[in-house]
Amino acid sequence: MSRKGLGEFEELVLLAVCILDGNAYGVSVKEEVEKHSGRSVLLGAVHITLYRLEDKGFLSSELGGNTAKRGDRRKRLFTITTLGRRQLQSSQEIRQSMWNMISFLKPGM
Amino acid sequence: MNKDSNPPRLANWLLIRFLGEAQGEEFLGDLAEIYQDRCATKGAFLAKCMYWLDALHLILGFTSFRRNKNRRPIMFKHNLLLSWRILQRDKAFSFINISGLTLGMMVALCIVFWIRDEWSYDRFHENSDRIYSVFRHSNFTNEVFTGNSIPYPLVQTLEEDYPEVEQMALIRQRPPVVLQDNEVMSRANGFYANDGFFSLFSWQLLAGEAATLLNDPYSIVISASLAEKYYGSNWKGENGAVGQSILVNNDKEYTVTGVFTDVPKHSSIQFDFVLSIKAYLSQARGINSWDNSNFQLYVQLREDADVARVNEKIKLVQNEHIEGFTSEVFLHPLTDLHLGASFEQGKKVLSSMAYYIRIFSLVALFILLIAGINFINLTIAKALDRAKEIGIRKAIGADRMSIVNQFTSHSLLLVGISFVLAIVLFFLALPLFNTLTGKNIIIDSIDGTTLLSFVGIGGLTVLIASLYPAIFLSSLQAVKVLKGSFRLSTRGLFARKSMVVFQFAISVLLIVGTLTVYKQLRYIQSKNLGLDRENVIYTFLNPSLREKLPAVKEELLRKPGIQWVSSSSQSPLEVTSGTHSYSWPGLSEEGRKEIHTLSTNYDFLEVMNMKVKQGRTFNASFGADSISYLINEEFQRYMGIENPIGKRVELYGREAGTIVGVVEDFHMSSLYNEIEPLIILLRPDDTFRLFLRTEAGKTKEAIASLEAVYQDFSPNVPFAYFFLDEQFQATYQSELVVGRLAIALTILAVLIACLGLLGLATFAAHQRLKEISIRKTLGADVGSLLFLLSKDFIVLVLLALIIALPLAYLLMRQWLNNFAYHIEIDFGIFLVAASGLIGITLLTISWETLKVAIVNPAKILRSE
Repeated sequence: MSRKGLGEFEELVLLAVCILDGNAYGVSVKEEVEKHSGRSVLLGAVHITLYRLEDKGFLSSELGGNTAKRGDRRKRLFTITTLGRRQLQSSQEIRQSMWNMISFLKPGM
Repeated sequence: MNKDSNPPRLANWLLIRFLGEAQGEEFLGDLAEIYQDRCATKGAFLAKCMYWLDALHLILGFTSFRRNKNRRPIMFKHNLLLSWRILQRDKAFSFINISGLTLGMMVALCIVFWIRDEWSYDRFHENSDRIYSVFRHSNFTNEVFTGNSIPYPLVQTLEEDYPEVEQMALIRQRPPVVLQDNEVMSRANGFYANDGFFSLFSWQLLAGEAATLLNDPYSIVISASLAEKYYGSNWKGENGAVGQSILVNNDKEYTVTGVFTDVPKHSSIQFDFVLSIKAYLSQARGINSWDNSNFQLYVQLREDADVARVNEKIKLVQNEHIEGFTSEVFLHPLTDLHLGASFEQGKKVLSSMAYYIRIFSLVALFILLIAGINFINLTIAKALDRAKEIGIRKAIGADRMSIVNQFTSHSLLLVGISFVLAIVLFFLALPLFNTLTGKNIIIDSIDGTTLLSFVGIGGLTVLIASLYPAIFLSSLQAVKVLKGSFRLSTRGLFARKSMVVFQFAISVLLIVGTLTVYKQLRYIQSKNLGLDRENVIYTFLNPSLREKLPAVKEELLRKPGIQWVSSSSQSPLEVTSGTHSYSWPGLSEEGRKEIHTLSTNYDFLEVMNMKVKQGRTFNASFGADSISYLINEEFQRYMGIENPIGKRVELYGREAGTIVGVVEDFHMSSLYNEIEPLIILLRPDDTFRLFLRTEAGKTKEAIASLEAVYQDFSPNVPFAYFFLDEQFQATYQSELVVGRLAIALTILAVLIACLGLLGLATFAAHQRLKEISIRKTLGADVGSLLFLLSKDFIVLVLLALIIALPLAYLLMRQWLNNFAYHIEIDFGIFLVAASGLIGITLLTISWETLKVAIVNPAKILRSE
């Protein structure tokens, strides 16, 4: 399978799923992304991104966890796959290696 | 939780509708969660708004995302493959479907382009939407005439009092003239016009200065083809057309100041040359009278002008200047001249062309409908074979949309194939269509409207053909179908049967219509006009011929092939001149109407083969026949006396003349109009056309004789001759076109309807194969089986007849009433149409049913 790129928003969502660790679904991901990025995000955008990431094989999902607040509807819980983790790591590495080449942006300076 | 704080239910419903129950669950859950939070922090209203926003975003995002990403390409390929296999599996059905649609669309294309052609008249002028022709309703005792002749002083009035008028083009018509330059000589049509003529209209100038074209009183502007005729193909170069002089009517020298591209066919104003109006205006007498309407005037209004206001203002402009006369001046849009300039008694009426355009658009639409109905019926009938397939698809999870998609894509494929074929066929059939309609439609470039017409017709067909089957079939319930208890619902059956009835009703209407039109045309052709139009040729008298008319006549009679010679002011088939200025002792002023007048030479009645009912014809041996009159029977009826011979009639307020004979009524205009009172005068000096009766079968000799004499007496004038019966035919040109078009369309419509019937009959026969086989083994004969299978269809055809025949009767009566002289509606035609249709139906059905009826029953039952 060829390596697929990761958009900026996709990366944010993917990271949020990792942070939430097992409790990642539409609303919680939306809130997590909003919390860290400081911008407001549309629920639809989050959902589409989650599904797209699943199509790409970076996420897997299952249904479960109904609550009264949701009108007893189940939520789709997303977890990161090995492929997703590898993707995150590789994009992190690429950035880091590029960062390292920029002298005036060295951490600690 | 109170009711107010519930999330909007419509949004929920929409979301589930579009994304399905499964996905709806998780999204709605998320939405509900956020909604609760928002209600608490931002209030119910804002929360609701945002709920809607989120819901719509999800719907939009996911309908495109999910479908595009996952299902579409695979299903599309699958559908296409399936359609292709179905097409191949049943070639007969595919053929019927495709050929029907192809023919239907081709007809529609032809008609659309015909209409476009008619509609495009006069629109090539840059400001065509702001150009108007000045028209006038003028009131006579009890008649209103409408025309575009206006008096000259109106021009000045418009100039002074109407700031709305930007510019004007003034035209003074004149009879065809002979143009001469050195050796070259030809007859041409043209008129006098003012400077505005070339700036208001957008005639394309090839040579000359637009601003000064008609400045000189003796300037002439000619068409490119005239220029080529006179000055050769390099008329543009040095010593070319401009600056040369042309002799007009052997009288005045005019200087060529410009050359324009030949006037397009799509122009209501046709001319080969234009003369400056200046010389005419300075010489003509009486043009400053308001009572002398000899000009045509076109005006261009300013962009901000309101036509209605101008019309209101201009309405009574002529009346202030003439006592005892009322007219109503108004502006008629230039673009409406070709199709809309038709008036009766001061009221706008539908012109015959506009009328026929409407009828044929309707017919084209009907033909397309018939083809569409075929398609629908056949697809549904055929798809019942596929009911099991649909059932299984549904059972393993296909939703309604995917089935609709499948059938729509199948229809689209068929329509697509037919569409391409229709366009190809359309281009192939265009020359034929042009000959049928006498048009010259060429599609040299694919412009916006052409494309739009193509796409429009394609789209309409798709709409007609694919929507119903898809919806109908996708609604089948899987369980019922798979259980085998599936039957067509009665409602669907009724719909399809009424469609067949509709098809046949339209066919009947078309057949009856066509037959009636044809009978009327034949009636016109064979109607005794009161004169014999065969073997009569005529030519126009020029001044030198008219001068020596008696000598010309004598000379002609000496030549071979010529029986009689005479001349008259107008063609007897088209007498337009008339007068209100007449009286006789005892004439009552009440119901006074216009009488027509015709000036003739001796022997006119002999040339025309007209019959004298009473008295005698003009005869030189009686001497002073110049104050003798002939009248027609209608005139006698108008006078209301038994024996009008010897009675005196005063004409034009001059010396009274004596009636010496009564001529049998002849049709002096088209059969649309009644025969009117006519008075025939002996005035050889007022005649303009020379008529000859040729000996039967010696037309060639007669023409040669005429030409020889013509050239002898007027060597400088080009010779031209015309046939009287051709003039007669030309009067009914539009009827002939309509007749031919009607036949072609009717044949197509019936053909397409029969194609559909063939398909349905085939299907019905195959469905009942087993039943028939059993009947056969039990002893049914072929005849009774045929009856059994045809019965249903015959009932439908009968129903169609019952609906269509009265309708046809009403429509045809209305059409025939347009003619003052017409055939009575013939019930024989109805009988022919009805029996013809039943016959065709039976023939079509038995084609297939016979095959089924004679098949060996053992073969079919064996496989059970």
